[in-house]
Amino acid sequence: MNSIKARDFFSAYFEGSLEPGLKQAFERALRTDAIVQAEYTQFERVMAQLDTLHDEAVNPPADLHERISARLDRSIYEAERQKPKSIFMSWRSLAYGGLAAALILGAVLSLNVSDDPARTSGFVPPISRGSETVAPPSLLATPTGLNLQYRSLKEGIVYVKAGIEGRVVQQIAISADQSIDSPLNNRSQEAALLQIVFPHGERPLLVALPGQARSEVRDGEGTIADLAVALAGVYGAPVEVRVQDPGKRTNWRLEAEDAVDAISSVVGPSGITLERQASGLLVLTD
Amino acid sequence: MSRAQDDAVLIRQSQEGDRSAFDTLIHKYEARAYQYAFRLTRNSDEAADIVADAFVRVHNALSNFRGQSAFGTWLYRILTNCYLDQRKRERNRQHLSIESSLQLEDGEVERQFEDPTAGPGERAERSARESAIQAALADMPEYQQAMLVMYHAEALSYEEIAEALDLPLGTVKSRLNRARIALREVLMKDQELFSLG
Repeated sequence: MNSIKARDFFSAYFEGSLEPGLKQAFERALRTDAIVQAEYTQFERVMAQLDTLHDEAVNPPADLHERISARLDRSIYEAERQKPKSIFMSWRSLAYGGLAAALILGAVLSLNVSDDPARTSGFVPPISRGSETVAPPSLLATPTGLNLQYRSLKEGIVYVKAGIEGRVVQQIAISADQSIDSPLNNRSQEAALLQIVFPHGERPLLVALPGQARSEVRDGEGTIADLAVALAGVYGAPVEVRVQDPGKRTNWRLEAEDAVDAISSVVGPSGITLERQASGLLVLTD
Repeated sequence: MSRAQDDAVLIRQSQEGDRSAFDTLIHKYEARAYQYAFRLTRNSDEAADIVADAFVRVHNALSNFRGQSAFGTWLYRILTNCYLDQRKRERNRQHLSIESSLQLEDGEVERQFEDPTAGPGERAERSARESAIQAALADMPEYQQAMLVMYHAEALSYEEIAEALDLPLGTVKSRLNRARIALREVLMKDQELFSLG
């Protein structure tokens, strides 16, 4: 056993845990090799010095506990502050008419109503007087957002609700032959679900509008309507919901860069698809 | 009730969100945690910071603690990691500074920075304040230093160190042996430089 190899056994020999065969070889090296002898003697001194470490009394500072508590409190506060707001609560309140969400939406929607087709901000297909066929209400994606288009032959009230059968956030009375062609704006931070109900039995429109900030929450579970809000929030695009049962439960993980790619991998099995219309409007259908 | 059983109750209560139970846990272990951190850093403020960071990490990870090891042993692991992270941050700060240079009209001039590693003179001064062994320990690589302090100062067994560092027992024994031999060499170098006569 040479001096280099012998070093590997210093601690075990010192502690008396070396197996008999190795112990014999080590002791032979100690007797016959001056280098091993010298190094092991130094090693024993080091071990004696290391043993003095335990004797040192170390007293913590008087305010140690306060410092730990303060750091812990700050960490908990920071974690709470950075936690994304519970999207699920928002969706539930939007889908079933939560008061707070409705109040926020009530302040941010703008609809323009005009009885002069020439003054509307966008195109509404002319309808000849006396015709019993009118274009159904529709949503049109524009470079600046989303427009609601509607023309009624008879007077009535259009209601804008926060969520499905939620609280009414806006109502617009229109006269016969008046048209609506107006941007729908959501100036709140989070995406929101709107239901637009028309006066004469037309199919209501259900649309999720993105908010001012994008959402980072890509995983979730909830209803199809909730999914539309999630899509609008993550991808910053309005999503119209045209499914039989928007309350049907599903779950999702929106990993793809594009909304259409994301949805096909998540909700394909449930028969829901997402398509992008020529205008850019995303539509969830079944 | 044994200490381990006490800890198990406090941990369960803390996991259920009982902050006063977690405070009790902190009270139980803060002095020992500080002792270990101080023995590594030899600086009261740094040691207190390490202990505070460690308890924050404990709090954040407590839901994942299943009692596979003793709480104290787990705490040693977290303290060691906090210490190693702190040292890494300090080294990175010094590295960035050392590489920068000043741009003057006459051309670049290298910044002059104090060499952060202790030279013989500094070690000599430190020796006057502390024992030679403590001064030599401070010059060891952090991981070896931590293992030596755990075994010799904190009186942890090889098995407890293995559990704390998540290493096989044989690895702990061989690394500690190498650390002791390396320490021997540092001490011998100091003695050569500073012996009388």
